[in-house]
Amino acid sequence: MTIDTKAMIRLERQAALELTGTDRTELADQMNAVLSCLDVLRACPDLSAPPAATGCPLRGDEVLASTDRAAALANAPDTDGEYFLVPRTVE
Amino acid sequence: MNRLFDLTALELAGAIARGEVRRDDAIHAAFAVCTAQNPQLNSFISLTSAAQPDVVNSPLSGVPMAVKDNICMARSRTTCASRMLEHFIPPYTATAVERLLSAGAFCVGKTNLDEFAIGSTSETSYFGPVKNPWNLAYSPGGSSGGSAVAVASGQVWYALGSDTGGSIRHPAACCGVTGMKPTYGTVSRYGLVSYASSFDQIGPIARDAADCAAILDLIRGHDDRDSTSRPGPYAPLSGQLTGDLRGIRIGIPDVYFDQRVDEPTRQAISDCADVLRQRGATVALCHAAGLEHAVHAYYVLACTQASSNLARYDGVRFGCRGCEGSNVQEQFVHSRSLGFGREVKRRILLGTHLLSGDNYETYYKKALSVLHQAEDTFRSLWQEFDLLLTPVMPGPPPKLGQESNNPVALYQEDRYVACANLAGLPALSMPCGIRQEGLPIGAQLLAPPMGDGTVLNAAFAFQQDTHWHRRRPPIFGLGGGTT
Repeated sequence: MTIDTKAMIRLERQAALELTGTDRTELADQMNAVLSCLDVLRACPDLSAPPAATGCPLRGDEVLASTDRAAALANAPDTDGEYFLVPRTVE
Repeated sequence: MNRLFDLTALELAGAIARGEVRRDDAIHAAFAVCTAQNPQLNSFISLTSAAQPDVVNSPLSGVPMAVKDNICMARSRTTCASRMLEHFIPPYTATAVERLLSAGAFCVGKTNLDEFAIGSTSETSYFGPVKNPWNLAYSPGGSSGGSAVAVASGQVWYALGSDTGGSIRHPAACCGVTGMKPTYGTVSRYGLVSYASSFDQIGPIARDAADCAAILDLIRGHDDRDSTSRPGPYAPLSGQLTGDLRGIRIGIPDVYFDQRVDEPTRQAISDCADVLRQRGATVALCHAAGLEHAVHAYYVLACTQASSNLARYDGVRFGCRGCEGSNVQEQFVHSRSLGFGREVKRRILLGTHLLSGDNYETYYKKALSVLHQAEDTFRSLWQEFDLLLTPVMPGPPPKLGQESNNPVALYQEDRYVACANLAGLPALSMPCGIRQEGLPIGAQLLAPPMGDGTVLNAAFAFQQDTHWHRRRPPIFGLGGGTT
């Protein structure tokens, strides 16, 4: 399926991005070129069996010490010293 | 030229340990070269200024090194070469860096890369492109281009890179240095900024295989903070460097010798095979059905993981914040649109598309199928061979700006390296020739999971009998003074 302007605007919304008109056209063209390359995958056989577990050990479900509040807030664009600040979400 | 720069990292550490070289002199020399060369090569995003503890009795103690700028160091800016993280100072240090610093390494600075390690030319950095020290008109490969350039030009003795689809091996080949992606899970990803988590691995870029082994011996090992970290035991790799390849069976897969591979690369790989034979290995061509579409599967899986991993950048907790929107969603959009560059946006959008609606079945599930087929192919190959030998890339690196608007051509660059990431294999790139235009050629060695020692020993053996890893670009060590 080709990505047209309408599909591109939908993808931008899903990915929380907004492109300008020229960028949108150019990126859509490039993405379509990549997708036609990836189309060879359509002819590949489906998974015959579910993949085996990788054997990675799971960690215990325990509360451990993590980044402290001041360190976590230090990189925030906007805080009140205790919390991250964002625009009002409830009108 | 300062003779310090001709030493390998192990040789320099030995000279420091014996009192023949002062640690501070090596550090000052490294800073001098970085400062002199960086305006031309753009290999560093930032240089460190903080004092770092001197630790003795470690194999690489006192040796100046660099860290790719997508690997966190507490209190040092970590930008991922993105406007999004231009001012980000992580509150923690990556396990791999922590282990090196505890062993007395001195980090000179953070190296430049493709934005968020997404790319293979080191051109998509918000801080400008990195240049190849062998010829400034060419790309140094990517995405760990800054790390490879820093080692190749004598700015540092070794560097850490990260490899998601060849991002250590590709620039190592372009710059004439040795780079290794270890077995997935053997080096902790804690503190490595995620691109495609099931492929991302930290690894070394150094002057030779012996240095790579010494670095990996310091940074490998289980880490509770990475859920994909492999439990031990980990046999020391340096002890496996005997140079003896008797009984080692090496396969050259036909799928990586198609019409794309140019004549200088063919000849260099063929010569490399001859050297390995003389060291006792048997080398034979082999058929590797099932790897033809590995790079396509890699792109589907990498882009989908990138679209998910990069969703965390919303301008709230860290990173660039765009102009205030009327609601929080608008603010996310403004922040992300301002903070990410074009290539990152392209991959996020592609990943989003590949996961939407029917595309999940058409592309994503098919890509998973190809991944498992590739694993099966490798399992069969390991019945017959201990190692595989392939090119790293089919020809010279692109000239800067040549392919920045041609993603298909750029993605094809990863064809020879991405399969190791798909299957979690250890893989190394080592210099094996120089082309007529003066650019290095790289050979790749792959082994089964946990066969890192076999890979390193083969590269070590090759480097005992060849001089390609000792060739230096004209700019090497320039700015470091003379002794």
